Amino acid sequence: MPTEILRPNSNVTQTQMTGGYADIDETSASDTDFAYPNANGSCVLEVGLSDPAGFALNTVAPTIRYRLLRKTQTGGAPGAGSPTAQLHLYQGAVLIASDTARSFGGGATDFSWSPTITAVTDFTDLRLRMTETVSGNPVMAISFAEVEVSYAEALDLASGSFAFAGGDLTVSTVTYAALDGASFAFAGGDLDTIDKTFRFGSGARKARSRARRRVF
Amino acid sequence: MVAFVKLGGFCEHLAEGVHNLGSNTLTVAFSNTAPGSESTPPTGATSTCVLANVTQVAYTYCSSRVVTISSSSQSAGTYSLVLADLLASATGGNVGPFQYVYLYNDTPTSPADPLIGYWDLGSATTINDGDAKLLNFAATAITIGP
Repeated sequence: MPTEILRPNSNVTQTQMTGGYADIDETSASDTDFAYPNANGSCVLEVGLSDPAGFALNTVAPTIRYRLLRKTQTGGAPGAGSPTAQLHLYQGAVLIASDTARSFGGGATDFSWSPTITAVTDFTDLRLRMTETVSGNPVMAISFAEVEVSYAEALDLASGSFAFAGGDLTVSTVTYAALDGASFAFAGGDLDTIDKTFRFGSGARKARSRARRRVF
Repeated sequence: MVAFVKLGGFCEHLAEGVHNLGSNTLTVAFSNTAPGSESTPPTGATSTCVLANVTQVAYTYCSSRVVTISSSSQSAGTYSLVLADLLASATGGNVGPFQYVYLYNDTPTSPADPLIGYWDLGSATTINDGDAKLLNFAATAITIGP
């Protein structure tokens, strides 16, 4: 099944965050740029994603990959501590799925998540949202994110085009010549009448018998 | 993009009132047998231009094959039939392989299921279990005009 990658391409919400989509949109994960919370409290980074070129399928779970790393609220090297951040997938303002909240105390870590997305009806309005409640340092920064979706192979069917051509219609002028002096004679054949006499009496039976045999 | 092949019988069916392309149920059928190799090729006389003469694949695991008619209209003497792209998916097993996609009319009963035409994909394809193919119709699926 073919797949394609959707990458961050816009900032939707940036609440107490330094950096945005441009810091996490690389094709290969890189920690040279990243987005991170810059204050205590509720911090949010929500980014829009590129539109799929193919007919993306909501019946196949996508693979969402992202990379988190610990930083200070000024983007510096972190001290000890295990901050927590959580990634969510939205369609517009509708929450589609939430990943497990991630917390760790080591170096940059890659995560992969395959949520059910049958609720997605518009792949052109998908968003990734990272939320974090910050109280001091360190904070969880994000340096990379992408969404790999499956799409249906397209069978491109060309148009059928038919032309209907009507045959020519020729209208002719017909002139009838007058026919003068034609005469016709009908000749009937003669009608013959034949007198026939039948006698009935003592010899009636013989006469009738002869009459039957006679040919008229 | 693969070319559409009009079946000869469709012309007569259209002229004699078999089809109402604006309201009938148009459906696609999948076959892996070349039309000319069918025991009774639907490419022959008008009477052969029906679905019964097409060797179809099994649709046990296939989603609906009914095509949505987006519009059926004419402008300046040219008729246009616009069909919405159809997502054909397989659930529970494979569908195919098939190389030919027929478009037919599922509404008429006499003759039953008259064919309109077909597309030759050029090679056999299979919709694997859990996968789907998008039947991407042209902007105007069928044009009839001068």
